[in-house]
Amino acid sequence: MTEQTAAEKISGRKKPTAFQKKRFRTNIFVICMLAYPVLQFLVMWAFVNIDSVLMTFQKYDTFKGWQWVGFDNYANWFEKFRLEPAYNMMLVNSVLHSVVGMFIIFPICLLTSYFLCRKVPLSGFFRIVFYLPSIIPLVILALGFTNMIKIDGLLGKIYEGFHAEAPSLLLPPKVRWTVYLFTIWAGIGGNLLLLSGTIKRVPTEVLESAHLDGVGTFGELFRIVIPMIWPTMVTMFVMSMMGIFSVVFQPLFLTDKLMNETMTIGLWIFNKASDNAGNVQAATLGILTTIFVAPVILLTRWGLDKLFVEVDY
Amino acid sequence: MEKKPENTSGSEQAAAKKFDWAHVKTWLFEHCVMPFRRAGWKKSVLFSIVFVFFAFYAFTILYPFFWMVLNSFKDPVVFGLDKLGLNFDAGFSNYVNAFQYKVKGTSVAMMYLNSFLVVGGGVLATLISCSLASYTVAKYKFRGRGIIYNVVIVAMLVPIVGTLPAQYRLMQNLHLIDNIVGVWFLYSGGFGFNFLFLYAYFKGISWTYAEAAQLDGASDFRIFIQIMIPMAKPALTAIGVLTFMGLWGDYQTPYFYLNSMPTIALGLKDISDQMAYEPNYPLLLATAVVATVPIILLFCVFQKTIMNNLTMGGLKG
Repeated sequence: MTEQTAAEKISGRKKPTAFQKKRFRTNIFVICMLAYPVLQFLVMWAFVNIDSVLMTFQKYDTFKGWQWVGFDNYANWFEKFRLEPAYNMMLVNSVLHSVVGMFIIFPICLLTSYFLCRKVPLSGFFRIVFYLPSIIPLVILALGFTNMIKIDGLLGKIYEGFHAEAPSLLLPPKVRWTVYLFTIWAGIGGNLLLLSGTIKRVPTEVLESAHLDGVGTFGELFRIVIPMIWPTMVTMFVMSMMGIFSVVFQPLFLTDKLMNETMTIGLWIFNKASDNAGNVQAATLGILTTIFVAPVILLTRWGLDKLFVEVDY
Repeated sequence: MEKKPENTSGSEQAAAKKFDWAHVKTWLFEHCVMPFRRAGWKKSVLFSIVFVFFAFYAFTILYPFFWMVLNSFKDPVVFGLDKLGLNFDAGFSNYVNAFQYKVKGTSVAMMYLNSFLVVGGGVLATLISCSLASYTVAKYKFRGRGIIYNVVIVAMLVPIVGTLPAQYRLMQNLHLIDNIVGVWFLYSGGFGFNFLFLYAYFKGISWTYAEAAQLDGASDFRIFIQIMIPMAKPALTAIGVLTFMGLWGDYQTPYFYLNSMPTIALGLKDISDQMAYEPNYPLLLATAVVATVPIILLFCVFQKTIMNNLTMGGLKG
């Protein structure tokens, strides 16, 4: 047993050992390091999300302030979906954007990444060019795209060359499909770098032995590359499912105004977020969407994870 | 070390500077012909088809930008008559006018400065917050470490939509509307994709360096600042550049929280809307070009860092 000093005897406490002192210092360091990020997360994520749910049970009154209204906001939305076709169109648009993200943008992105990794001529140049739409502000992309497809733009001139009249792609009813086209055009580059990075990590020995066994390009893609990069693909696929929420500014920037034909859930929420009369409706719509979509997304992820066994390489 | 010859004549220097066509030919052969030769005929056909698609898509991406740049030098009247022809009558006057052009009382030059201030602060705040969180979780064992990591994953996976109204209400209650500090606070999230990326990076750095420094009496904080941060510089640069690019084009945050300090992304939309009443499209295009320049420059300078850091790691689900 170690001898106690006089001070320790008087205070009745043991002097902390060097290890305890170090541990104390480390704990203080950890607390200081994490204090700000955790606080920011608690305020801007946890609190905001909880308040978002609470908002759906409230209503703002100019004279009485915030009041509890139970499930009225939810009932309102079900009524709106039942009676007003414009809201149904908004819902359909959002779901279609999600479908476009999952089954058009994502596969194109995967194929593009694969062929870029397989060294198609000028692949280095293409990789840089394809990535450009993801870094350039959307408002500028929309400006360039709009002028390309306008009647007096490049598309108009091409039609003129064939002695035909270019269609008005920025007016209803075609505008809706133009927004999808723009989303695809601007969205391909988004996951390109991450996907090609993951494909590049597939060991060359595996691919070479497959070639020796006579596996062709598509065989290599579907039987070797995809199973090996499956976890990354699942994550990205799930992210593209979330397109139902992320399409906000594409319709706004492309058409310069809010139109029923191109309205999405995200844009509707954006439009009403700062409006005291509409923000509870926006929050309710958001939570309603989450209630329906989150389980689908989580279930899809769970199901897709089961399809292939994760391989470490 | 080999010394450079000192007395090279002017003609020799000029010859050295002369454009080397042989080099270009070799490069084109290596990048355009060899891939087909290596591939064999079946793959060559497939590669040709893919190449045509790629070339078409690349054209659709590059064409609008070339069109914007070329038309930004046109006189508005000439632009009205011919949008596709080449004409540089206006010279740089559209650019000069663009910087002086005011929307809702703020000039484009001011918006440009605002953008640098908002985005610069946002990037700094993100990097600090992110590196603090990721380094601590990656390198220190403490209670709750697993919880933090799992919460980050769950927060990324569970899509909670429609938080914008609640976020606006919170910012209103905190009196952070129209306040640049509020926007920096909003941008300074330490968790998310950047956290996971930096977490993996810090995990990969050997702890032996820190142990050596500890033996020399360095504190935890000193190890973080003087050893770990310099070692994570490539990852931090990649995140910084990507965050800058993301925030430069951010429309939503300044729209809601910085009305009196509009950034260039916000201003461009306003100018675009204004063009319906006083059309001067070459000026709008000049503004768009000016707004794109920092992003393109940054991308050109840090292209390798971004590509290497993002493509080397990929993403594990």
